[in-house]
Amino acid sequence: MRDERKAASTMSTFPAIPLDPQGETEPDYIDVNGVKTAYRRSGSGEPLVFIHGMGLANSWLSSEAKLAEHFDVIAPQLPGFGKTARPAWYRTLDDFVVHLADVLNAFGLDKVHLVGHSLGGITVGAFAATYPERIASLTVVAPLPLPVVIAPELVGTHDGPAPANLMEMLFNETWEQYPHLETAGDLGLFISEADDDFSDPEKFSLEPSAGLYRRLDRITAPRQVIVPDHDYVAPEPTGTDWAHWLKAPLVKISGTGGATTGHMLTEQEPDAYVAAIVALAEQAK
Amino acid sequence: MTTQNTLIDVAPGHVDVIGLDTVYRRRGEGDPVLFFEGQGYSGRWIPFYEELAATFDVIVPDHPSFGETELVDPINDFNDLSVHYAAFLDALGVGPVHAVGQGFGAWVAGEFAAIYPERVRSLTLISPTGTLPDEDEKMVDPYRLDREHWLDAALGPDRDQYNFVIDSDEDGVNRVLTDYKERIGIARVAWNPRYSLRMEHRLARVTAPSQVLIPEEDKLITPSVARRYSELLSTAAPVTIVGASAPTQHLLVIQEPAQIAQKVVELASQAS
Repeated sequence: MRDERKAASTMSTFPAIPLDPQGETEPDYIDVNGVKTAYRRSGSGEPLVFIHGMGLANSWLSSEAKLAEHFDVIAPQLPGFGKTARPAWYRTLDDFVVHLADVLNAFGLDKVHLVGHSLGGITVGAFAATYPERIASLTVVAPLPLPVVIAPELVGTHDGPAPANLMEMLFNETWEQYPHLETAGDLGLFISEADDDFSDPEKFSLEPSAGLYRRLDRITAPRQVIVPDHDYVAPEPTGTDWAHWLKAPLVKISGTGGATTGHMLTEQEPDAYVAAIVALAEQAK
Repeated sequence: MTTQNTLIDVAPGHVDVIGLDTVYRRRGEGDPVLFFEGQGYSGRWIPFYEELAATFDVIVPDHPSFGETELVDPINDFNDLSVHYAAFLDALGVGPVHAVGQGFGAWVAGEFAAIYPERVRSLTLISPTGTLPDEDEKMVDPYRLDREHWLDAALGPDRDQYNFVIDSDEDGVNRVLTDYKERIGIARVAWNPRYSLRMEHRLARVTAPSQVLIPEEDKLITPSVARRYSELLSTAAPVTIVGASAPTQHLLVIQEPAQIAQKVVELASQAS
């Protein structure tokens, strides 16, 4: 089965996609084990799957366009987010993990570079821990916190309170420069029609398994945790904790011109962010 | 092949599985069989394993909280258990296996196969639990039965002739504690709900040949559970294993080891 997948993933070039921060254009769709999955694909080179966070799932952002200058970038929209409806029997984030395996199968990809931002960071971490053999490299960007466990030496090192303005929480003091990225929020609530005895959208939780931190130990591919100067959404010690359990370097991408980077560092400093992913992919060779 | 009325002593092995010291027994040569044990007979080499070991490299880990394997906090659900067994196989350097499970272990085997279809060459589920029974069937509450009543139900009126398999040489208190530990391990992942809604959707991912084996009388699991497995696996209806001297019961692996091992061998011969 694996050999067939490899044969199917011969290198192709997928055309550049115009930037679409508000998701105004229609994405492509692929059937993933019965889940009609929205995605965008652009670029050429080794395959890289990017998993979005909450909000902007249906967008095509400058950071993704820049990644596509180096990789064959596939950006699927997780069930519930953007234009992909979530089956009503899903219960936890672990359902995304098996779904992602089916996404790779549907595209005929055996092994990919995997990048996830925010909620997507947890999702790709959980995927890599479940299927470490399918990861060429793993980049977790401004991830949401691992559940339950904070490495003991990090307890009590939290940052200060967050600003009340959501845009400022995402972009820090330069938030007014990013009006095109303002989003009404995409909280993953796009649910397909209830269709069997097990359908109950109310029972879905984005909490990953409490044991995820331990599972991360299985990952052997090159990996990194990218964090901004100051992340109000997932404040320290979140990034340090991830780096601890992932046994990975913590890569801080700082703002230029005196401004700090925030949770959306991918859009604030896309060149530095993409350079870090390219460098990790080089290590994987 | 099997010595009458005594168990072969197979020394346990230990392997570190993501930090958990996991105890297993292993014997035989051939393609690997991973056996997912059920309740009541952990920590020993039962005659069924010895039958399988004539054809296969048989690997029997004790689940977390079974035998000498401890239960650790990060194991909370069937996803955790499935990752645990993937990591177990990786730690032993074992590739795709013939997966065989009984009772609760069949449920674990089903979840494992659904998450890791590429690691499973064939799947045999024996008196499985784990799917939602039909509405008109009343589920037995296994946690309410003490060990003696549970064994009465699981082995039937002839249970005394299997004492050499079921009774270890522990004294009575340890036996109760062992039994309690096993139930804790099961309850950790299967307390509520007592069926898997995920398998309803995920079992279709299993591509390997599969079979479901059931006893003539199962006083613990109602018949629709095994039927549902065979539907979800798109395989033949459950096959009833008929006892040589008395009707088979829930622990048919203990009652008819040779017959069931033969079924595993036959299915394995169909696997690619």
